[in-house]
Amino acid sequence: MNQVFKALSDPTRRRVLQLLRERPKTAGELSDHFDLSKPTMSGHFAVLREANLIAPDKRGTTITYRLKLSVLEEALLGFAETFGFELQLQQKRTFSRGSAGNEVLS
Amino acid sequence: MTSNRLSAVLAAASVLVVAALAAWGFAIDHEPAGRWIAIASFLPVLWMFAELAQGGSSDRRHIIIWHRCVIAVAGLLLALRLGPQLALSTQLLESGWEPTLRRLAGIAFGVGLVVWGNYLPKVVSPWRREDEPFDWQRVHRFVGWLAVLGGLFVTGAWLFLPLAQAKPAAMTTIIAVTVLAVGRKLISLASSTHPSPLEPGSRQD
Repeated sequence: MNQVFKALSDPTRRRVLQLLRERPKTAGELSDHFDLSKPTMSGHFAVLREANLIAPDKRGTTITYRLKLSVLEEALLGFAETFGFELQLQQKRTFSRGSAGNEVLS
Repeated sequence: MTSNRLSAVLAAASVLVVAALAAWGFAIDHEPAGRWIAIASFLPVLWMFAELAQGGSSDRRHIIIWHRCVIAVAGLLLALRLGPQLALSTQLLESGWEPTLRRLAGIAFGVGLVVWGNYLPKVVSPWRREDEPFDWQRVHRFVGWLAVLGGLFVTGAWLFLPLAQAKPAAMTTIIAVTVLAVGRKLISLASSTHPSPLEPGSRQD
């Protein structure tokens, strides 16, 4: 279960799972949605695979990923999306307050 | 033990328990004999059909494992229903236990439905993406959620409603879940542009 929480804690990996909700996609199709390097994306796919949240299907040089979320894991993803969003907002607010303070100090 | 062997052992154990209960039932009450034969042979026939339908393909081993798990759970639920009935009819248990046993069997069924529904979307399609005869992922996600919600309702009904109302409430829920699940799959099959996997020339390795 720890691996599932770890996998769901990252916004990029949550976005990958959201994209796979539509239909199975190749690694290339998924990477096109992100401005990240290939090794970074491979790292994210590996974490999701280890948590058993996606299933790879290798045909030749192409890897197609399929969603492998149980109902409970999908509900957790929903919670993570909600609270992750809240957390990001909070971080942004804290960051902007911090920046403002720095500007005043300087 | 590998999951392949474990699933076979669980399914076999389940089939044997149900067969033993059917034999016990037959020993208590011979009439109608067909009822006990049907109970004892239903799961083995279903299992044989499931194994043959996969054609022994190693690529689809996880589907065979899934079918064996379904048979094991179905046997467990059947045993939970039959066992207490037979124990009551032979007075191994006093008749005062009947309402409690009915409730427990109903709750076990509801929990079983939740567990089955929760795991269902994790079953990976045995077909290639371009060969799928229907939208496997969407159908399994829909039916998974439906079964979990239906199972929670059934469990709640057997836990909190009076016995006279719990049974019709649970039955209505199970029928609604079944109709919606079959309907969703039929809609997906009808709207699919892919050829049927049974048609000649279609690839499913």
